[in-house]
Amino acid sequence: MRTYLARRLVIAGALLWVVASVVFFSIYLLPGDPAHTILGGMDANPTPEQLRAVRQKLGLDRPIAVRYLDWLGALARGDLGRSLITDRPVAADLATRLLRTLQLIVPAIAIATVAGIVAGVFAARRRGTILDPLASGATLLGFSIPVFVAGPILVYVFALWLRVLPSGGYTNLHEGPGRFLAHLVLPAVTLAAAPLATTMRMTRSALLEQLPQDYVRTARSKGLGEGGVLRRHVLRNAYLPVLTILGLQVGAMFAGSVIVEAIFNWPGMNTYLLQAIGVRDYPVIQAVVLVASAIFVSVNFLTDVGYAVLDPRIRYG
Amino acid sequence: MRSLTLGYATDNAAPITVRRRRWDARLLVPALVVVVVVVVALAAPLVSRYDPDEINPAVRVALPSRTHPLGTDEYGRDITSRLAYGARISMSVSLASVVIALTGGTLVGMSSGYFGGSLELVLMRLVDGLLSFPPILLALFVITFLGPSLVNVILVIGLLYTPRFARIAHGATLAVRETEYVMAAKAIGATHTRTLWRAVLPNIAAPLFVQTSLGLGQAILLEAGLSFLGLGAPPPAPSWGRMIEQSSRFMSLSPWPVLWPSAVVSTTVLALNLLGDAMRDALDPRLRGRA
Repeated sequence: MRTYLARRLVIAGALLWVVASVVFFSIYLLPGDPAHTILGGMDANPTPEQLRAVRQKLGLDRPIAVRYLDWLGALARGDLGRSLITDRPVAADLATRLLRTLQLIVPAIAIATVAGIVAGVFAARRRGTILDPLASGATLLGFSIPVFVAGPILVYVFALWLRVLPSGGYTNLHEGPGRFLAHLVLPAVTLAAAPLATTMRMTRSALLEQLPQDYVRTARSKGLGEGGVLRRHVLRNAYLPVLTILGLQVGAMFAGSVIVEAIFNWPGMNTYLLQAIGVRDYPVIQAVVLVASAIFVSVNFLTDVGYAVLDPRIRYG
Repeated sequence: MRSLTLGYATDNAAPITVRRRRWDARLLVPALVVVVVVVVALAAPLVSRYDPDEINPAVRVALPSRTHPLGTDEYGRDITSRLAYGARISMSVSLASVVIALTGGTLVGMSSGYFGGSLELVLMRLVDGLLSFPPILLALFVITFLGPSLVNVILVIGLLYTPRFARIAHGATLAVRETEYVMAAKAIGATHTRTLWRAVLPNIAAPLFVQTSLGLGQAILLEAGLSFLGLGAPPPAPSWGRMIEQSSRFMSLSPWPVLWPSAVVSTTVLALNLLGDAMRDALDPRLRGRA
């Protein structure tokens, strides 16, 4: 297992380094002079002082190799630079925003995983009855209805029509847990819908794979109850594919949260990114993309670790 | 859907029989939906006589009527017309980007699978790396630096979906690389290009077709998502995603301007997903009845 994990770790590290480099050099992709572009495009007439100030702030006045090493060094210290607009350190702002995004994503993952597995087990154990195709049909809808469709419809039904939940916004958890939860319900459900469908489908087909196998019959015949058979034997085997998908799901959640945060005005990492894109605050854009990428790479790595823990063939292989 | 790609052989799969399969309706119904969307996109000026961008304050958020079959939005623009012209954007973006991804991905995957060695190592590592990031984040990042335009959206989506095709082409090529017909092609002195083109490509085409159908749906979603965030084709282009975003601010007046484009996007994507599934089952009967 150690070589396996070491290899994964090296790959993850290399991937992060590539991402950091791409993010660094992306500023040179800007058409024309980056400082000009940042100061409002070619039609604006920035004074030479303004241009110099921006160049200095972005480090464009120094040789590119020096800048590159500085940037990697700063990253290693957790310094993500300063916003061009507010001049605040990006790392601090981003930490607040990331925490709020996690407050949205973690409940969504919980909903998707628990409900998805329960629904998947339900459908698999009722194979051949009308309930199985019904459940599968519902998941197909879950796949095909994008978040930017589900979100506004949920807002219309629960906020504008029934008036039971707020249409968007955010309350700090410590300011009012009730209001925090009320704001959380719609975005979390919107975000959970598609991953729930995937988890349900995966669980169902993985179970159908395992249920007819000999070890299940053995477990049953030694007198283990049906719940014990499922938990102790079937689910452990069925989970390898589900775990991979779960890893992908977390990635999908972060991706979905871009649009969900925009719909529900959730002041997380993604709205931070979208605002920065709107005002061309490149240090912020670079930082958010970098941190988001680091999260994906870590999640992928953790999925591999989880694989090794759950599958002895990989652990000892 | 993903579960299918794992392709387990199982004892509860339906037995493979030679009798005529019953997938016709599963293939035809979604195909029909796709054809309707394409026809509407091509014949947009015939579908509605209104200019999709024509503002008419006299009929703001009108309900469906004889003059406006699906009603109007918050600016009094005809929704039928905007949907039809929006179909042009969706269809052209998804088709062009999938053609890019299919061509690029097939070239990358097929050559790395066929030649192997360090070429394979480098290319497939690159593919794995790109695949580990969610498309929308990469798309946002690239669009920020290239600027939002229809061409850039097409290029970005095409680039982002290339790895998916590459991985499929790679796997399929590995499976056929050692077959007799590829050996035979080499033995009679065919060049690498000819072997790839005449012996390998026709035999790896099936899974690529399936991915094409699924990829079209995903490209439509990504385009709509980008334009929902205001980073797709610039206004006033009547993209489906932007229609939903703009009208959703006026939902307290009427939900219909949101519901129509929502229904159209969802139906189109659902049809393409079903089409992909049906094609996969038709092309690979072992997988029938799974997931």
